Amino acid sequence: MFDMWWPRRRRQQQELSAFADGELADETTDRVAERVVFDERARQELLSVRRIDALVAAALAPHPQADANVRAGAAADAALDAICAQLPAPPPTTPEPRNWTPTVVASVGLLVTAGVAFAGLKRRGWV
Amino acid sequence: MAISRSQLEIHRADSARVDGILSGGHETFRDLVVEYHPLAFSLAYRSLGDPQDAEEVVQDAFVKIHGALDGFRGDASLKTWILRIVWRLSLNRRRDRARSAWRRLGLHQSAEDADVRVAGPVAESPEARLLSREARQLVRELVDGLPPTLREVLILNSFEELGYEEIARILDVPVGTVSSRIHAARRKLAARLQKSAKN
Repeated sequence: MFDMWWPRRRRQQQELSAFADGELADETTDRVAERVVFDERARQELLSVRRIDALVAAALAPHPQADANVRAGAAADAALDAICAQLPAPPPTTPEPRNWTPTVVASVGLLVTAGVAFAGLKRRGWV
Repeated sequence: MAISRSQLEIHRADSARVDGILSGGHETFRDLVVEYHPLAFSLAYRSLGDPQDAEEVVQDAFVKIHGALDGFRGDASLKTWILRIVWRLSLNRRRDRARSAWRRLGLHQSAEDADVRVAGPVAESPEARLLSREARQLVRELVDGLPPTLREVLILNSFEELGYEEIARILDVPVGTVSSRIHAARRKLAARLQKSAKN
């Protein structure tokens, strides 16, 4: 008799616990609600569940703070800073070597031309 | 498992958000942190009981979340996924803290009191106003003293916005297990409260 009664009692208590959380399927909800209405012991158990929940909520919940939005924004910025700090640094950029060749060739060509012209003019005694 | 229309919409919105962040949207990520910070902080605080520790855990969690976003498959909602990471990091911090000499010597109590004083006057929640500081401390100690599997469901169930299914996803256990553990946790806590009231 005890073995048959005990599991049923445990199941009923567990259902009541889930009922308090609004986690039962519709048909079970109706059945448990009926039990709560007509059974004094079920009503007391439900009250006890609610009391425990209220105590836990009061004991564990953080104090609501007026600047919650500001704190969330600051936390977001700090997280982004930390993420950016973790990103691999970009490789150092070496300045691209300047392409001197055409400039140098043109300058040397001009200097040679000017030198030859000057030497020719000097030989003729014009300068 | 069948997915409802609202779940599908949440899933789509989450995926779009994740894609936005992955394509370099720092502003989108900032919005995500701002939206989920209060819930994440509350969860870490309920687990750790210390505002500074909770803030640090949440900070670490969001950095980790950013790094792991490309692994988000959408099996659970973004909210559940974020809370799961916060929860795991809170447990790690709890474990580390339990090992620290500071804690073992009991010196953390005075430091936490100082933290509260430094934080300045804060408004108390309506429930908290009904309980004295000592009573809150007692209930917290009794919750802390529960076996870990019962403590965790009790803490997660204290969030109105978390149903059994979400708790099951966060803890990676079946919904039936969540239900039976919550019941067991309530019974055990009630018994311990009665015992402490008699003493």
